[in-house]
Amino acid sequence: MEKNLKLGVKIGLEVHIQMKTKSKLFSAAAENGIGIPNENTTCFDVGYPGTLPLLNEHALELAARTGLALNCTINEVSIFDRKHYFYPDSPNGYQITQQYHPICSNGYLDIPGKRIRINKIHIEGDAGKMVHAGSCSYLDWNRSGIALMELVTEPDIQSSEEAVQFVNELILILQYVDTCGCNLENGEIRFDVNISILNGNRIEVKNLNSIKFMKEAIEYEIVRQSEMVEKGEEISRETRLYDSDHGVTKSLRKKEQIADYRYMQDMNLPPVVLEKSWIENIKQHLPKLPAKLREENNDLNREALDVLINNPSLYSYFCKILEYTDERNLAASFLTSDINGLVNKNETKLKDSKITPQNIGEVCNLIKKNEISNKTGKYLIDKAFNEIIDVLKVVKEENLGKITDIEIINNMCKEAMVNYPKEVERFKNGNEKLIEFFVGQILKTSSGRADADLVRERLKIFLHS
Amino acid sequence: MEAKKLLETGEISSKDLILACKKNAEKYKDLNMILTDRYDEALKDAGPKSIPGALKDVFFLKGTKTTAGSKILKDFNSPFDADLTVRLRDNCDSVFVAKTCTDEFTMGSFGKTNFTGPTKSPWKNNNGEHFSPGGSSSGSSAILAAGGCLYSTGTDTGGSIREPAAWTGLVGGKFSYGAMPRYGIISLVVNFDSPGYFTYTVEDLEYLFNKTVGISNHDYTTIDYKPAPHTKKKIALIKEFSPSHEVQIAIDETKKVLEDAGYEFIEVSIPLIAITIELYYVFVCSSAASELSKFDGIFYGDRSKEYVGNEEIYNKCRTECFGPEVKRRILIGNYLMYSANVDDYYWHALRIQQLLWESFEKVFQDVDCILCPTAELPMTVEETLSNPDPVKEYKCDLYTTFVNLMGFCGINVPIKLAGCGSPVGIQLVSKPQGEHILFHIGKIVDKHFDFCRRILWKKI
Repeated sequence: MEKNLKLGVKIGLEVHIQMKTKSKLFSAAAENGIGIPNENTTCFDVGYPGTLPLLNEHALELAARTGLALNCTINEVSIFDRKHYFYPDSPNGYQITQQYHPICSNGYLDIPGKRIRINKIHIEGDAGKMVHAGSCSYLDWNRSGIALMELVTEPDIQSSEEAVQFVNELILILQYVDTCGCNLENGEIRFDVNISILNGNRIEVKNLNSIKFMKEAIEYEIVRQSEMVEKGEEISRETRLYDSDHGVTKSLRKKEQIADYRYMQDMNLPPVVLEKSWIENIKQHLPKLPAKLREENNDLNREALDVLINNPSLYSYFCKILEYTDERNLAASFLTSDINGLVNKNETKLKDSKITPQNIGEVCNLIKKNEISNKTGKYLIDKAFNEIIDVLKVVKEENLGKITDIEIINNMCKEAMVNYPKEVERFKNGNEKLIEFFVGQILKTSSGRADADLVRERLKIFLHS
Repeated sequence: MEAKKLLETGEISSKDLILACKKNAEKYKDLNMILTDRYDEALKDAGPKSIPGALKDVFFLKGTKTTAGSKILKDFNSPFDADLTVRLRDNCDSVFVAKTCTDEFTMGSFGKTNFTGPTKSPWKNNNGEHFSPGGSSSGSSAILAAGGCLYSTGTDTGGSIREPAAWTGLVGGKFSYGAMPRYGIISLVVNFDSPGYFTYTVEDLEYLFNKTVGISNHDYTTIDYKPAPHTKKKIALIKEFSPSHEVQIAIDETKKVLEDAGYEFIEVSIPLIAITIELYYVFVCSSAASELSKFDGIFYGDRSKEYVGNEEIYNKCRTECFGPEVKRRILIGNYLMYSANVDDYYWHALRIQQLLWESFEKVFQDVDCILCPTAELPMTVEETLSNPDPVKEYKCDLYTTFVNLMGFCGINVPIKLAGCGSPVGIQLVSKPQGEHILFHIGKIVDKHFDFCRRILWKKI
């Protein structure tokens, strides 16, 4: 990081985000970028003349919601422009985007210790997909026209780590506002990275489709550019692609070839005018966002909290457990370690298991009241995962309650001491740690029900006498 | 309308009507007005009272090709029916007898850039040479003037209905921008294109308009047409227009008829009207470059058999299949839209357009209608082919382009024959949604001069 600061590394991201709309941005074709090629297209999407775009208004809502979650100003008037370029993935010969008047501007996203400013978020139609096979290229226009948000940051990011933090938090927020499916494998989120060092020209690396590749590309570029500077070579404006097989970036086009897109307002689409009350309504209905939730739950164990926040559905499950118990840390712990473990072990999703929030809540309460041990708690959780149970009933029927009766504990201690005279001898000779051996034996014979602290207390008295 | 009456009473059948039209089309075959002949299909499609009409070959009609007069779309099948095709068929009980020739992608004023060759008007000069029928709706004007149908459709982006109407002695209506839906019509300038009709009388035009006007769910740019009230019995004459002698006579005679009907005339000055041609062509070229980017031969359209790599597919297809006028306008358009130039041309044109609007707003505070020429006298087809001076050709649009720039409505009413043997018409223009004002005034003029009955029909 220090090296980056010395180099004056500046990184700006352009993130392309597919919106969770049922149909495409300007046509009624289903929004499904995968599936049988060219199945989800209308005359407009394949570039027939005589067709007209019709705006998917739901996309406006999703974009506004995302913008508000990222602290943007929602612009009441926004305008669609045509961005002209010739390429087989663009059947109309232009992409419909918002070049001069985007729907959202001037937001920010905080990562640990820093604020990354967001220049704008605009709406545009996606391009189609080309698949190269040998000397042939195949065109699939399922993706052509899908509703996209393009989010552009200011060059505030200064390292690959910061970029990864930014993107992870962004994806989390998108899940919370539910405006994107966030499946990177399906290409639902793609990155372009702009990097410059020492106030030089910026290099654009396009079409990175995973966070891993984005990180690698950034690191490679920083090294490549600093080496060029050391050799005295000039860095000129350029667009590059990342070759993940070889871990290098390669030039796509140089400054002279940088395209002039001849932007022109698309006159088939009137300007979008959003009413203040509509924007306000969306703002009122925003869910609580990760940053706020972290603040509100800062009493929880940090690791457990991260797991919960990073998984919105797990967090809402956690909230349901809290309807049955006040034991927040205990509940978080069970949910994030024990139950997570069961999910992985049994390859069963939480929602498909038999356990309920009430089960977990009751277990937590019993532990708090010292009526069962932690170990018993784990046993109950395991049982509840696999079968429908009434926790209190099971505790009663299987006699799982903690043994706290002093008489019984005393007898257990004495019995253990009788069974293990050698260990008693060693304890009395100074090996005080052996007390745990006795505690362990007693827990074993009592099936974990003996109150370990009480046992220890009584043992100390007996062993020292 | 007469035909409708006869069809109602059963004096003639639609089949007779269609056959008569077919006979005329056959007679005038060498005018090259038709791209797709549908007379036989129309005979099958026709109900007992159907009216035969012709569609300019930019209107989609499922089951026919729609070529826009261009080689690149010569095999392009209409994917669906245009909104207007549906309305004409359903609301006007129409059948379609032909898809007519058009200047390539509706760019042209003479009908000479159509990919199967130039179209000729049935009108000839005193030497027996055919006049040009005007453009870009050349085939639609020729076929109606030849008696091959009872009405035809066109699109008017800079004068492409009114000018051919003037040159072939027909009523031609360019309706307010947004009054007619553009869905299913191949577009040139998205914010100027106005679908409209050619008819024999103003009464016919009014009938078709009333039956087909209205909002479409497919087209955001359509408006909910509400007729502007006709309150001022004043008509404006534009000082800056000074047409040739015979056209001026037609204007003067029309003026007299309207004065007798109680209208007062005032002269207005609109200095900016002198650069409406330049303004118009900035928009047309930019828009053409944009709208025509979709024609690359990749999914549909003529694709060259041999090419290497992406760039060659585009280069070869577009080079081989676009005509010179189209190429010219695309190149100019791209030049104008480059980031270095766009402010000086495109954005500047937008600012001037706004000023022009303000001038006209003032005019329409005092009058409901403007009377002006539609076009100069036509050239012969030979003259148009031997005079390749694009700028000179563009200047022929002087009287019509301001109507498109402002989104106004305008109609050509045929008046008389000029000394050289060609028809002469005049233009009536009104503000947006002023169609009923035009029909009202137009009918007064039409009834008086009765060009259709007195001259045109006698010729056919």
